[in-house]
Amino acid sequence: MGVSDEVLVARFKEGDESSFKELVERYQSRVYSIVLAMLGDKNDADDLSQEVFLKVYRFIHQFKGRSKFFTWLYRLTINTCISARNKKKRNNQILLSQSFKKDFTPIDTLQNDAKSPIEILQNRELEKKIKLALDSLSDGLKEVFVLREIEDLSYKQLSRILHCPEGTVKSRLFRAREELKKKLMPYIDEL
Amino acid sequence: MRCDWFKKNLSAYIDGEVNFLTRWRIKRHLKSCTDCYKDYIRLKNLRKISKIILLKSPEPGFYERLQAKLPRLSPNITLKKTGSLAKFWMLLPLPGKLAIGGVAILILFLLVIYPHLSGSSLNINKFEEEYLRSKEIFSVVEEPAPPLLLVSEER
Repeated sequence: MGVSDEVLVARFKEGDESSFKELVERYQSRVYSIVLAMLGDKNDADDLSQEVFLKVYRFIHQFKGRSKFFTWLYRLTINTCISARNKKKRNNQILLSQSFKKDFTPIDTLQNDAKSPIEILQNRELEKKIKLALDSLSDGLKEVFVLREIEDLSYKQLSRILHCPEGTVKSRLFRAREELKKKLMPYIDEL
Repeated sequence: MRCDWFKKNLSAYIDGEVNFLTRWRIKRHLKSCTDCYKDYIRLKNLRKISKIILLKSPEPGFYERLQAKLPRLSPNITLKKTGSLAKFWMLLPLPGKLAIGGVAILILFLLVIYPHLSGSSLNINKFEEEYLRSKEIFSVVEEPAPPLLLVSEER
């Protein structure tokens, strides 16, 4: 059994940097996955995941241990993603909308010859479509969907991370799935 | 109309976030309603593919790249620098700490408390002897000085 997050955080607060390394290694994939799903750009995702951990390094003394470490970390990740996204939007609003229009092809027009689920998933075009569908969700819907699918967090944990009631989590998840279901109908029917 | 309620709750149902009664009602409905069952399968498939697509790992050497950025933050970081002994103590698991604490208490007990509990230290005869000797000294001190002898110089 590994050392708990709480012990690692306590050791890190006392100056033990190897505990920080362990925390990074424990959460790097999940943080990276969340950031990638929220932003959709590999290079940005790598830089931003590192920024998240730099914030952890810098602000760990602000973490009082009243909640679970991962709750704090995921909140930090989501906030970092939202502020990066807003910053990017402000800077490149016109550029972004142009590239989005250029890349976008309606899902209905997509050719898909793959038969088995694995073949379908290997189809990069499909992956692109799923990402595009995900990207079309609002931040509120996307963050709850991503956290739920990546982390399998309960509605209670999600409500703590996102600072909203459990009922809101439930309705947001429902709406996110409905939207995705409509956009990806041809593919999910085939699986 | 009836299916609307079930469809709204399907998302929470596949997440296992409904109470026992709702679960039972949905399960029973899915057996009889093909439309809702299709919806349920779609949601399950959506979950399956999103999980595979969303879960990614960063490029190898993530921590090394991160570490290269850490020293630049050093003025803002207020981590205490600790010695190797303190580091050893921090890294020591709880049973180890307890064992060391126990040994330290035992050594303290043997060196400080135990000698006072042993038979030799409670030798009453020796104590009494010492007490009487001290009394003797006091008696010598308290004795009145001998009277002065007047020596006549008649010779």
